[in-house]
Amino acid sequence: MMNFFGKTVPFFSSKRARWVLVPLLVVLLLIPVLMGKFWVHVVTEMAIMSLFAISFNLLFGYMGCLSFGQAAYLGVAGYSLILIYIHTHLNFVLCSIAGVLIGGLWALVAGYFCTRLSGIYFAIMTLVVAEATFYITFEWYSFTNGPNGLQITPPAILRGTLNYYIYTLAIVIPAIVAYWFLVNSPFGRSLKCIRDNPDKTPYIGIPVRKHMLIAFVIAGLYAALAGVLWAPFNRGVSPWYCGMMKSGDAVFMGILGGVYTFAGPIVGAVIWTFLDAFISGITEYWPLTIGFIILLVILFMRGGILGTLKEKTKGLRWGQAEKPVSPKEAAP
Amino acid sequence: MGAGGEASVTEGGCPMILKTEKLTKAFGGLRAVDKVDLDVQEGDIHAIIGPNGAGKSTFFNLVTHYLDQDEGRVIFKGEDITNLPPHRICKKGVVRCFQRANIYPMLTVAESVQMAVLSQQGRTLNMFRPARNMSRSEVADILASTDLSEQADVRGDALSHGDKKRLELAIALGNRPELLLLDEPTAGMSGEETRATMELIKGLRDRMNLTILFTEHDMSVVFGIARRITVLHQGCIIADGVPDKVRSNEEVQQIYLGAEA
Amino acid sequence: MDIILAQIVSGLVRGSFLFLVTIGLTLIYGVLSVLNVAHVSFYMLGAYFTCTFWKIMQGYDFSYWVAIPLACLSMAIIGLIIEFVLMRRLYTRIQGEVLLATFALIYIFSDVAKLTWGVQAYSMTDKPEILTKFLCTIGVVSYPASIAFTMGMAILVGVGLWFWLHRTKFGKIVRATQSDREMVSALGIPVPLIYSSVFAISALLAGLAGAVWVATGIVQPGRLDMPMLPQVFCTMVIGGMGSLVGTAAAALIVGETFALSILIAPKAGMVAIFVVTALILIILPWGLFGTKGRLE
Repeated sequence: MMNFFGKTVPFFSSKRARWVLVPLLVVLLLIPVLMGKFWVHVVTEMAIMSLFAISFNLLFGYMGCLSFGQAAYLGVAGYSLILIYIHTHLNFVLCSIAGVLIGGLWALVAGYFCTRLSGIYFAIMTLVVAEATFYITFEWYSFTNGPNGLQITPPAILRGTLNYYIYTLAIVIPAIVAYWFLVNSPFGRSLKCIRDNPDKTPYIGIPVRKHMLIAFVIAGLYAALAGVLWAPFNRGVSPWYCGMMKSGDAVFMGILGGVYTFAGPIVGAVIWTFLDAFISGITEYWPLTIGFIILLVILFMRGGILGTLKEKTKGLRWGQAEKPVSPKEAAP
Repeated sequence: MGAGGEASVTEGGCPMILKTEKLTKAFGGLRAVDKVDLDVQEGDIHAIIGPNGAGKSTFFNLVTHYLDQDEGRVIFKGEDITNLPPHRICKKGVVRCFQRANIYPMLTVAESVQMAVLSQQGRTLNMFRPARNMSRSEVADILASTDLSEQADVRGDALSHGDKKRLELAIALGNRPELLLLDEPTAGMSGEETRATMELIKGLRDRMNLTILFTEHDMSVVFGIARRITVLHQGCIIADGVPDKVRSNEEVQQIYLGAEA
Repeated sequence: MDIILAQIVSGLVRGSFLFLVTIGLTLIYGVLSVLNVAHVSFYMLGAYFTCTFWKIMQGYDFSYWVAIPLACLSMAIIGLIIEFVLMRRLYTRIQGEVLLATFALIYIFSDVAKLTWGVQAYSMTDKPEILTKFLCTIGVVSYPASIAFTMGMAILVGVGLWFWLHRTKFGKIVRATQSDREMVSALGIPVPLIYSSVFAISALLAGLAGAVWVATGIVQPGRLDMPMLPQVFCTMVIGGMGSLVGTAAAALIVGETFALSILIAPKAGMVAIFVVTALILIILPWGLFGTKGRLE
């Protein structure tokens, strides 16, 4: 950070907190008042997708591992929530918790295999897990209803747009705060070490595979949390929530926002959701549009939107943006 | 022979902190390390020298378990550490500095050292408290002792070569080593930097009760600070003892020192 | 019993297709060390081009056989364009960025195909007789000649590539570039030209795979690019990234895994492939023949 031995101010009374968080909270409170149901719905989606993007970014931005399969845990959590709710009629929140835990469990199983691999093999394996999840939910008709997916109607209190908005924020905001503590903790720092120099890190005493697996499960839990919010929001799940393409959404959000900043995935989720709503109203060629946007960001805005913004406004001193440096660029 | 927990003792009365028994590693047909029995006394400054390809780096790689050995054992303070994973070996007190300064480009000097400190304290699984305030005094001490205090906030990739090597050393100190393995600590340094590094190493050993095992090509460094020298050639030990004894060994002179004059 | 044999043959055919589609990507990864996942889009476009060229010459006996090289040529040109416009800027980037950029390309090409060819399914409505007649009948199963065509093409491409890489001057230069780029450059050989050529060749191979597909299959948006990607990936990691021999072996393994697992559980084919991939990677984390970026 800026100054290792300087005086540190607790985050929540810092300048950044005052100038960014407070206006943000105010905006979030005012949206239902000032804007119509449609925008409340959109912002709810943005909040849910933030968790999904965070799930990707924890692994890629902080640990240097490209996961193309976070949707597997989102989907499994959604399916678990609905299946348990339908079959046991337990309390909806309890079912949601169960959904998150089962999603996390799937992440533990997948992570055990994936963290044994490195680099491109890791990325491919995560994609394989997501596609496997897709095919399982697609083909196992008797259990998951196959391509039709499953429907769910949340309990009456959560059916209204406003109520679900509040429910979502009540979960997403603490989750993001927890994420802040996580990435600034010793554990978060150790992930950065694994990212920057995976060869050296065991030699400062850090058990790399163990840390990677733990991070993988935490990322899976965030995706699962997004899943149990996403399923009732959409009144159901389908196999397409589990596969490679949905996972790609998380990746795109991360890249859009900026993978090497804390708020990058959140910004990315907001922009992506907005684009999705906006562009789908204009044209059916959403893949073409988002494809070009991502290409342009990768080629010309390497830190993503937030990263590039931070760099251009370095004088304002609101935080450092790191940029990815590949060994080929670093070598003279 | 020391079994687990007992210290091994040489005739001099000083315990042996590190002992390898018939340590061997072959790559294809080439025996890089060939049945090496090496003893390092506690508190010593012990140099391993030998021509290029003699097996010095491979030896370090075996001791820190960067490579699996074909045969033999590594015993540290009486305990067999041969098959322990690298991070456990480090936690036990055997810490290695790499030959090419292998640091964290995107962390600052202070943050890198702090990571080693936190790791040694077993706090890397702490997910709930911000790391930036942790163990600052210990980090400050280490930076002061390696003359890096001025550069506490400089990012790793912005350091000069000499500073990177000192950072490498500082990170190693963060792990509270008992045995420090230095792989060519003065490689690529000017005469002045070399002298400063030598003083630094000696000073650290005196103040912190370390044992230092290092490899070197620069003979002035070796004969300047080493109290014991082992000579490797094609994977085998051909001489071992105090500097004068090694210097006057004929085989050593022929193979190695003769060429250096 | 005949069913089992039929499935084994079906696995061979499937493996042959996989090999044809994957080998171009193996070539790129081995030589250029980049993963161009839009390779599956090239495969799809090759199939579309073949259909179009065939349609233009419909009615003639040779129409399919002329369409194939035309489609390959088209894909080579497209490959060159993509290499020049996009890939050149990505060679110094980290692997993840290249994968993402080319993944975005898949999205783009998928819509481009929709815009160009529409959403309907294309197929070769009257196939050359030489492909449709039956080779033999074992038990209740009749085997059409097209399976010989597919397998033959795969063998031809595999052997041809091996010869090209190991016996021709250009091929040896390509292999040299993969192991020591600076040295090749120092010898006065323009490395960017090599990169472009290899990329164009890989696009050509993808196009060829697409052309071979048209002999027996249907071309429809979204069916040839995305669904192929996981299988291509599995083939590459099982075989070892960048290994020609590995791709061949892996393609067979994946093809047979799918074909034989259907006998036990009809819907579990794809999942069986993934499980086998995971198991192989546990034992051999770099695949059968893989160490980083070796092309043989």
